[in-house]
Amino acid sequence: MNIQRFTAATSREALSKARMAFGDDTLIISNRPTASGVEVLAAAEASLAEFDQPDEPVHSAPIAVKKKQALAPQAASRPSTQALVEEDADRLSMSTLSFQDYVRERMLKRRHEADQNQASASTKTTGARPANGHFSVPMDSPPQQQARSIAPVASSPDATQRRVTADIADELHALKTLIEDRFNTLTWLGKSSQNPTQSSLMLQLIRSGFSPHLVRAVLEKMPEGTDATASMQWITDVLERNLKTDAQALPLQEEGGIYALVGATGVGKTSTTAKLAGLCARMHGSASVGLITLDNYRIGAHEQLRSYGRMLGVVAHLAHDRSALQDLLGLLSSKKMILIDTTGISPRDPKKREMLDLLTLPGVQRLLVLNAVSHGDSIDEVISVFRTTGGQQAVLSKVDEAVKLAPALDAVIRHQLQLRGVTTGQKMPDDWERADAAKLVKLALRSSVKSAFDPQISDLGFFFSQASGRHQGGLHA
Amino acid sequence: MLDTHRPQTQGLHGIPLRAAQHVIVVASHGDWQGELPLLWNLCSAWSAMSYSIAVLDATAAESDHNPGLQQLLNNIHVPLWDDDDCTNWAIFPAALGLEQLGASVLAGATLEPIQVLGHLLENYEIILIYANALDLATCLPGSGIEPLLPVSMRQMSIVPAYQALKHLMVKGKLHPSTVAIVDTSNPAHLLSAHRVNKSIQDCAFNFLGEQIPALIAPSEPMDGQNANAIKTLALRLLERSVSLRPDAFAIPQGHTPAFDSFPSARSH
Repeated sequence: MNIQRFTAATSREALSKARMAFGDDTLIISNRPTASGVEVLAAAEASLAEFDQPDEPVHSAPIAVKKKQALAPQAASRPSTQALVEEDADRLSMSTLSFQDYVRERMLKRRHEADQNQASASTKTTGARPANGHFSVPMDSPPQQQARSIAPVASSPDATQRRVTADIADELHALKTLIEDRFNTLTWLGKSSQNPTQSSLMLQLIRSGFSPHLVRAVLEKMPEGTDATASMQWITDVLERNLKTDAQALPLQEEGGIYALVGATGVGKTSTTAKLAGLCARMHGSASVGLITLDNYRIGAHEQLRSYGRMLGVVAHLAHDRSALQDLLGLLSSKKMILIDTTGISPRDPKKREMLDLLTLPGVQRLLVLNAVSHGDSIDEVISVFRTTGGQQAVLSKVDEAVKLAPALDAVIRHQLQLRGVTTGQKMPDDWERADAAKLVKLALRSSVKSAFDPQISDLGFFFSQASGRHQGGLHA
Repeated sequence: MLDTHRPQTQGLHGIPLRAAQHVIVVASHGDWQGELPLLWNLCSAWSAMSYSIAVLDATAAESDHNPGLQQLLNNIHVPLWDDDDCTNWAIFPAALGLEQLGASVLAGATLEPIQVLGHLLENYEIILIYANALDLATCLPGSGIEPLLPVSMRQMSIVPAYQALKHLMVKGKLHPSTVAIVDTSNPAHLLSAHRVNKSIQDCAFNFLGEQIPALIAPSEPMDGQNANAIKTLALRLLERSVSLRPDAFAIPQGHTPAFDSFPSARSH
């Protein structure tokens, strides 16, 4: 190969020198600044033809071998790098494999390996079994060795005395607060029970599944002297006003953006992802959607999302770590909507922090998926755990399965989440609705199911005994 | 009674603009030792994802004993490639067929070569074209495809790879990516791969005026990490592929698939 070095004051001049030497087919190999200007290493494309393999490599092999033999004495005197290049060139030219042949070879190799593995596995199985037919199981170390001695903490009598006094003071303070709360509640309950309308509303809201915190916060602000019908309407209005939705904004699939669906296990994150992808694809075409899953924990998670994706003509990618996720976000940056499906994590799982940190990337918005069927306490815990800085957005899933919708709405109101949509069934992507506060509140208050868990009016005291009237967020009456 | 139930995903099937086929191109520059294992790994990864794949190998010529693309173009029956293990792959030699398609482009054919291939191989979800860079530049100029150019870590590979890159970009007006094939058990290889990628990217930027993506892939998916890297590359290629939708091209009269109908190996 004829490679020449051209030096000049500027790249342009060096390149034109190279072009003068090799014509239009100049191939620039390197370009580096030097003390006197720029140095360009160039060759003619035609001189590279020797490296291109003809379509009939079978015939070329002997030629290559002959060439090698002829060049052998010269090669011995050349530097080792050059010798390596020659070897590479010979190996290339001797290749006779088409992809079909290559695949056949690989298949044979794979079968051979599989047979060998099978044979060795059976040998191991028989070899590992002792003569008496029992496997030896390594025993754990004896409990004496595992026991840890706990060193007593040495402390002076004065310090102990001070700590005991502080503990007693704390307990007394807590007791005082509890008694005050209890008396406040009893006073409020007493006043409320004097008002049959308020009393009946309280029972209805509690039976619907709203928390005593929210019920008290609402009823405390209710104007006095309101009749039964107007009271119900007033409560409905208050709940609707406090249930934040995206009614004023564009729907998710039209707005677009990068959304990571997070939440506890089994709440329907993958199904919700597929529904949103389907809606976006229906509106803007399949090229508008990017799908990524971070779920490499659940068996078949990627396959499930990929199956949904294939029906839409969308490729579902798998990201194993933060850098892979960043790469994929770069790859999919032209998409209108990128949906990231995540591993469902129990709120008490220590891995949750790791997963949430993974999603702390610019432009990635978290969409918390809440199961409307869950108990209010569970929803509260999930929201607390997955809470993020800034506005938190949520989707309520399985609304069709919920006997009582109030616990979920209650949590959404108290934690001031913005509800971006609800899923109302399993059909893809049709069972998705925009969050409509009026409709959801009506649905929550309509609950007329007779339940063994419903409190009686005499039980209300127990319900409110823990409700201090404080709740997360503010309520706008 | 159960038959009357609509499947959960019926709504997704009803979305009209779903893609049917992906056309992916791997450009060859004669570095068989890097290219063939890469093709094998990619096909294995797609196959594991239950995609059906047709490989058009334009580095091998069709013959009477080994018919391929040329026969398909001329409506001659082509039997399926018979290997029990490759249940959802087919490999067709395609050197002459691709040349024929290239000639039809020059003659002003109404259908783009990719559309013709999409129609001929309509039973396959992925069409992988493996061809010499110069042939690709001649046959598929300005087609919007993003060929993948493998570069192995042999000293001989980088210059022909750059030459191939130049053909693809200058003559073919295509937007290639390069992938350095490394033996991940050798740490020096990984370092070399970064250097090779940087050199090719710099050359492409300085002399061809374009920033090209440069990737790294393992030569053999020996462990979980390497297998994931191959899977990621396979998915990336799908993402950047040319998608052929059923309604994207008119079916030419008299062009019926001349090969055995492929039983779609789909689990869903």
